[in-house]
Amino acid sequence: MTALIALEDLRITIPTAQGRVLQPVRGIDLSVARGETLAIVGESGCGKSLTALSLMGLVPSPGRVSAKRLTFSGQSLIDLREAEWRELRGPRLAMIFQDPMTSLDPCYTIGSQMTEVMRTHLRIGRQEARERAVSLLARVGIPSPAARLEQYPHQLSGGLRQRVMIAMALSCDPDLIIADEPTTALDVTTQAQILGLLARLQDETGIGIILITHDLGVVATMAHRVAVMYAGQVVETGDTAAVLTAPAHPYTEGLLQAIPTPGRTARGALLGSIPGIVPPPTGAVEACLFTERCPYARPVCAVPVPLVPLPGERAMRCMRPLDERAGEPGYAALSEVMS
Amino acid sequence: MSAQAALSIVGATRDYAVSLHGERRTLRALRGIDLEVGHGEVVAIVGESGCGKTTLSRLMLGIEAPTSGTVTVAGKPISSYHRIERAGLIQPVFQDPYSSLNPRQTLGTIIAAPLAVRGEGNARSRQAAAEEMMQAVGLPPHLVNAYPSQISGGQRQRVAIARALIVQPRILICDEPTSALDVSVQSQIINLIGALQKKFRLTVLLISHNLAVVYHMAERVAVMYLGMVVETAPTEQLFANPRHPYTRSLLDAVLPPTPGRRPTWSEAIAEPPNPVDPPSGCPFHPRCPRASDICRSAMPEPTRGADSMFRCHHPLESMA
Repeated sequence: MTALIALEDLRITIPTAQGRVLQPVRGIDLSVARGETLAIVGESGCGKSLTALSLMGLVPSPGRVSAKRLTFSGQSLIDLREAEWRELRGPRLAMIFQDPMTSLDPCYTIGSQMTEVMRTHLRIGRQEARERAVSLLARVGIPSPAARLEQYPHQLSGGLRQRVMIAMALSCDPDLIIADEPTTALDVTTQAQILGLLARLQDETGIGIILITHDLGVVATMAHRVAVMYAGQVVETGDTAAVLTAPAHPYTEGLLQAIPTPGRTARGALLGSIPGIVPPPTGAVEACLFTERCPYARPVCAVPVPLVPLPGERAMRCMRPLDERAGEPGYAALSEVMS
Repeated sequence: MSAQAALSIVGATRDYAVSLHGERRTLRALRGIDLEVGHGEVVAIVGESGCGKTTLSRLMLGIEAPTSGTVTVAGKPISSYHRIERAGLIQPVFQDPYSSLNPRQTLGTIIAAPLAVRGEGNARSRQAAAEEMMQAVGLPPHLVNAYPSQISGGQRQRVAIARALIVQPRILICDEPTSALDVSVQSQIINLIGALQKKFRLTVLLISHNLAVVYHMAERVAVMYLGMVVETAPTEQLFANPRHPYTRSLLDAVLPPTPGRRPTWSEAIAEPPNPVDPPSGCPFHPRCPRASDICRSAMPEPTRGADSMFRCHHPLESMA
């Protein structure tokens, strides 16, 4: 399968007013194929959203993006001019954000926001754009779509607004959709509907999806492959089922143990927890970035850790392979100490 | 109402006057809530946004009075307590520790504030009590002079819990206590609330939309829909054998982090009705796969079991 998007050693740096340089993304390799969903999962501040923005050319100034390779359908995205980005954003690459209330303009009707995109990029007339908008809204399951075009964002519920965002993202038949926490602001029942919709649209169009989320439940249901990010690096990547059933990296293992799961974690029992906090995104990487929070850390971890391939097209960034760690007390021991 | 209830709500309603397109209307946020919580019990209240969970918590805290019905704490109506007396009985922990802590006060001042309001002790003894409380919630005491901006989200939620517990209340109302936190931190707060609940024999009301957290923490669950409790049962029973179709659909929407399960999605729009303009009969009927004519015309009466209740004309089968 040829990669729709491929990136190698993506780095994002942000100079601060105090003369320091923040490195929220410190060398990421990823690829997404047509028809595939890649989930990027991690906690706040791990760099997952900035990674997504860099693929759209939307990293805010003064942030700077560099990469050994950053290609979309074979075309390099490094140092594109703004006009060239505009040719891609919308028609080829689309994005869905977390909060559909703040990403829709409250002053314009749904119809005018939807048709503006299509008239700009597809160079079609008002009437044709309107007809397309109606069929798009119908396609994302919105009842009486023609009437909705006259409404303003505040007149729609959160779930409907997110459907409008998805319809807008699809409006120019993009090849890739980047969805940044698309269901985090929604109720669980609405979340299931929106995820079901995205899965169906992918089956119909073969679109590639990059799904940014902190929710391993969403990853398990939606993603073919997953990349787990920590402190600006990918620490583990591979097939979703494989990673979630047998996590190779201690951080992935810790995340999974921290989630109460009916049927797997005992009710009321102590949940595993990862002690400490994420290291600041400054300075050179001189050791494994997870070492201070890791129950398996040893002196050998005091070096920058490469992403090591594992069998089954998996990879992880840990100095201590799984079989070597086996039998050592893990997170459970740590959480007993803490409480 | 039994004598041993820590908290008892009988027939509580709460109306708000709202304006809909310039027209004066009544929004009935709570439409007759009956709920009894025993001493030392952990009860979860679940439901979608807008179902009245938070309004109910405000009634239980005494911040708002019910339009009709009663809220009774430790045998007396909540309105009969003086504000300060009430705060000594029942305390909240809110969702977002970024907005619920005063950024200009030190952690010591925040945690000791309830003591200061009550005029207990002097500055020094209050500081000592705050440090002791910090220890109990797993905060290093050297942070006593730190400000909220200097600590992490998980630590802030620990501060909120310490502040709530310093007056030794009997009831803790936790409104989405972990949903603003990262996964790895969530589990620490869940563990902490569980440990403190046992240690101080606290009665805990857990308001949440995260059913996995509810399953883990609560002994009993009350499911709310459009201002009503539509089902209540012991946690294991509710998860294994829900009787109300709405409970079933909430459980179906849970996405566990275990692969291989694509939920049975109905992607058709099925959103909660507008509380200003509630549907006739059973409020769930527009979204219910089992709805029939009677559901459209008559509100189902509660069907009570030993320690459970549901309101449905066409309940799911009992497997007991």
